[in-house]
Amino acid sequence: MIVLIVVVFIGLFLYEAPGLVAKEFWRELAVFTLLMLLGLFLSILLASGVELPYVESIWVELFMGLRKMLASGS
Amino acid sequence: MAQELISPRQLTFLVISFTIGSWIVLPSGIEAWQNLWLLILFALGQALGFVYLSLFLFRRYPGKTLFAVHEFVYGPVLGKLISLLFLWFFLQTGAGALAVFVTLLKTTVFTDTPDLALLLPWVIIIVYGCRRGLEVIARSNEPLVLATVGLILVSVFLVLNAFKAENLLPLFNQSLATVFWNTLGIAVFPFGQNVLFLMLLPQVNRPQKVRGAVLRGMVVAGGLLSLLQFLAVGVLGRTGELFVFPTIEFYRMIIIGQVLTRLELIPLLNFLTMGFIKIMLCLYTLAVGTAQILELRAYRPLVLPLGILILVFARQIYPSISLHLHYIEEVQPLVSLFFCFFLPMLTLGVSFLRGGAQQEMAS
Amino acid sequence: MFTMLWRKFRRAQQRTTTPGPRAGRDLSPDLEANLAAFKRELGASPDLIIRRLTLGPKPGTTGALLFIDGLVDQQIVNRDVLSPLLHEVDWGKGQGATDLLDQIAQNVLAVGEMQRETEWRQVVRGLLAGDTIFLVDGQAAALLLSTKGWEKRAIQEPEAEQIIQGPHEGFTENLRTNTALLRRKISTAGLHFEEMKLGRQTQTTIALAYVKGIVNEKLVNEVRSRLKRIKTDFILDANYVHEFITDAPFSLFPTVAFTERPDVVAAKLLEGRVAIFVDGTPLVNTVPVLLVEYFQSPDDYNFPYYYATMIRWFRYLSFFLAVLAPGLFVALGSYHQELIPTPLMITIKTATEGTPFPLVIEVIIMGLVFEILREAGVRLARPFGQTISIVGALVIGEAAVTAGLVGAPTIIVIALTAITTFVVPGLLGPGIFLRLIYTILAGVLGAYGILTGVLFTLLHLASLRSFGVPYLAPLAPVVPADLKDVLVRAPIWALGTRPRLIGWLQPSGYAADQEEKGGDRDGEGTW
Repeated sequence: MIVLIVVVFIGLFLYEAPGLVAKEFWRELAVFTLLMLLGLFLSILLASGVELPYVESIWVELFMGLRKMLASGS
Repeated sequence: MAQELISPRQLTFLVISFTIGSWIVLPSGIEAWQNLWLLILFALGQALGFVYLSLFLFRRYPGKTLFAVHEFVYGPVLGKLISLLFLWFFLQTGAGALAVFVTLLKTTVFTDTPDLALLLPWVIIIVYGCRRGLEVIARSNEPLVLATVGLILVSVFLVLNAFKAENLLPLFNQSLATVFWNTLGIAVFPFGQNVLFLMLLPQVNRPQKVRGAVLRGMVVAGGLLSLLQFLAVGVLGRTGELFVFPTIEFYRMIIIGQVLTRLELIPLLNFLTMGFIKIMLCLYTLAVGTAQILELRAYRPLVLPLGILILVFARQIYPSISLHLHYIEEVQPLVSLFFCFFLPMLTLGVSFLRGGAQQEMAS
Repeated sequence: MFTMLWRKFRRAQQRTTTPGPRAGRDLSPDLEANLAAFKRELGASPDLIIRRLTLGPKPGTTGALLFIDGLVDQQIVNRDVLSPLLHEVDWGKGQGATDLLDQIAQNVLAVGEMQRETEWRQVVRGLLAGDTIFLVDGQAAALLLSTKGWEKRAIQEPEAEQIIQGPHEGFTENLRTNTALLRRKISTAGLHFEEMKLGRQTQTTIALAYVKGIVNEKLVNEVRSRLKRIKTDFILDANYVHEFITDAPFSLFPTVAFTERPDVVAAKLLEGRVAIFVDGTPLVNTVPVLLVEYFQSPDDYNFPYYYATMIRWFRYLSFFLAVLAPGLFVALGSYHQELIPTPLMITIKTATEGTPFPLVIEVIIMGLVFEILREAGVRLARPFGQTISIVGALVIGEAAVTAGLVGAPTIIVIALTAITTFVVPGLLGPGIFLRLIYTILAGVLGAYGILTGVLFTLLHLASLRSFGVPYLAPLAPVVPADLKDVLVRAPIWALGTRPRLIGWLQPSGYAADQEEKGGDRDGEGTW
């Protein structure tokens, strides 16, 4: 699975990067590469079954904590 | 990058589909179920006020996107930080819509299909559409909006059989606090999300018509949502609030002459097409915004990796739909209020205090 | 990436167009040398006729007539060229002429159109285009006499575009006949033709036609410049031009329309479009083209408006069925059986009971068999074609079902799509292709796959432009005024205005009450 993901990412990279190099868009290439690496990292984490936190769970806990604080404060 | 222009009418259509977006199946403010259709109208009024105020930003800095305004008002560093916050908001909105979309498909029709098989084709076409640019998004949106509006209006006739006026009662049975909280909730989601368009307004070819276009779109969208909710209450009655996707459930009740059954395909189709546009707009804004913050010359290369990010995030938005409902009820109004009202107003206020815009307008 | 490929392609083409070896050479004053050169250039082709003759006030001056047998009208050559030269010459006349050739041109020859030419290349070109060449010894110049005349097909009803009511004439292979047919439809001085020769070997005449005052000049310029960019050895048919000038070379959808009907071309020109005639083919390209045009037929305007509207909706429906029916059938049958009403479901189930293949395979194979049968029948003589359709009908229709290889519903669906495909002949290619893709998608992901495919197609269509005009107009961007000829076919008197994105220079259909409306356009169709 992870191999597959890596292959797909390399394929996508090879699809996009030559055009940027040809146009000498170095800054764009750097940002693109960074974002791709971030995506690759997250996808591998997901694929290997690491327990990542859920976005909305974080929000909910944050706000519930805030509310409790307010409630106890008043 | 070449500026792509859309017409005010296309902007109106985009606002309609963006507003209807995910809300068409998953209403917020479900607490006030019985009165929801009325609350939508209240919220619409409130949201029109919010957006009207936010649009002053565009009036004051014509031809500038929200992010450019941030940099102008707060200075480059703080401005970029605030813009980053907005990027997060767009990412979460897009990923949230995508997540709801998968949940919906999994609970209704595609019970056995793996998530990825549903997500991947969708993300592929969204990335394709975003790379083609705003003009293409706007143009492909037009027939979809017409189809959606048509289907919603047709469904009025379809539900006539199942509609019972007494289901609408009792009205006005909620406490003022509930009404207030839920109205606010609806005003910021779905209507408030239109703050996203502050990023796209400079690409409208007739800037003087922008305000009317946005407000008109919101009114149409609000009317349609209210209508749908009205029908849902009339068909389902009080039981409606038990369902996760009430708008889909009420179509299930329609049976006309043994043949016209299983009409939940109609809202499903509406949602899929409108959500499609909504997610695509989120991704587009995300890419354009990132390119602006980092001062890149092209947004196009960013679409692909950001699409992957949205895909990954969509799987990490919520563990279960019930948490999402909880989030919508308790947290979302505040988060959205922060982004959709508080921040734009703050920017407007600061800009007035600094008074830097005057030369801008004179020139 | 495509642009890169395209550029490479272009460069490769440019390399092949080195100037001909004889360019710039002039004729020799020596007649024999010229004749020898002609023989060398054209080889021993028996259709090159050389007629030597003696003429002139001084006895002993020789001349020669050259023409290609079959390309000239023999009667004209004999009556108006040869006979005056040999018999009724009064050499005293014509004192103003500078030399013998000029004198003959002014006084002797009875041909309407002639041209004096000194350059070798031009003379050969004229000879091959059907002119008669007249050479005189002692002068390094030739007269090109327009004596073109060859066998041509009579004007007939185009077989691929027949209509029930209305004019039954169609274009022929002869460019002049075609332009004349168009002139007969549009009798305004505004109808302009521009000609150019394309194809290094074929020297095919291409004619641009447009109505000045209605057409957008920028469109004409764009078409002209795209045509000039064509670098090729041969242009044999309209599609050779189309594939060079199309906006999206790799798209499934054509961005240039073809027709064989003068009335259709006339209507399109009057809406502000440009037509491209190609000599040697009855097909005429018109640009820009919108997707909705493929759903229109000249018959729509000859029938009452309500009937035409209904027929038009049948066409839309047919196209959607043609493209989507097999896919939907596969999706419903193999993924979403709960969506089919129960009685219908039972019928289908009993009919498909015991067939060996999954539904997708069944539909794809039967679709393939049908396409092959069609292809086999199309190019055969009629009796063979009938045999094939009988065999095909029996094999797919009866035997396969009774043998239990295929379910009867599959046959019905395939038959339905087979018929509906032909309702919109202009989109035959994309229709068949999309159908296959949607069927495969439906087999993989059910209705969701189809929806993904449809949305992808929509995005693609929305991104297409034909010569600057959005392909999906007036549906996307919505142009409410133009929907009168798309959603309905409004009565003729209500069809007053031209399509807004094409004919916006002069939006009103009646030239007298032309208004200034240029400022009210959306940002679409900009150049």
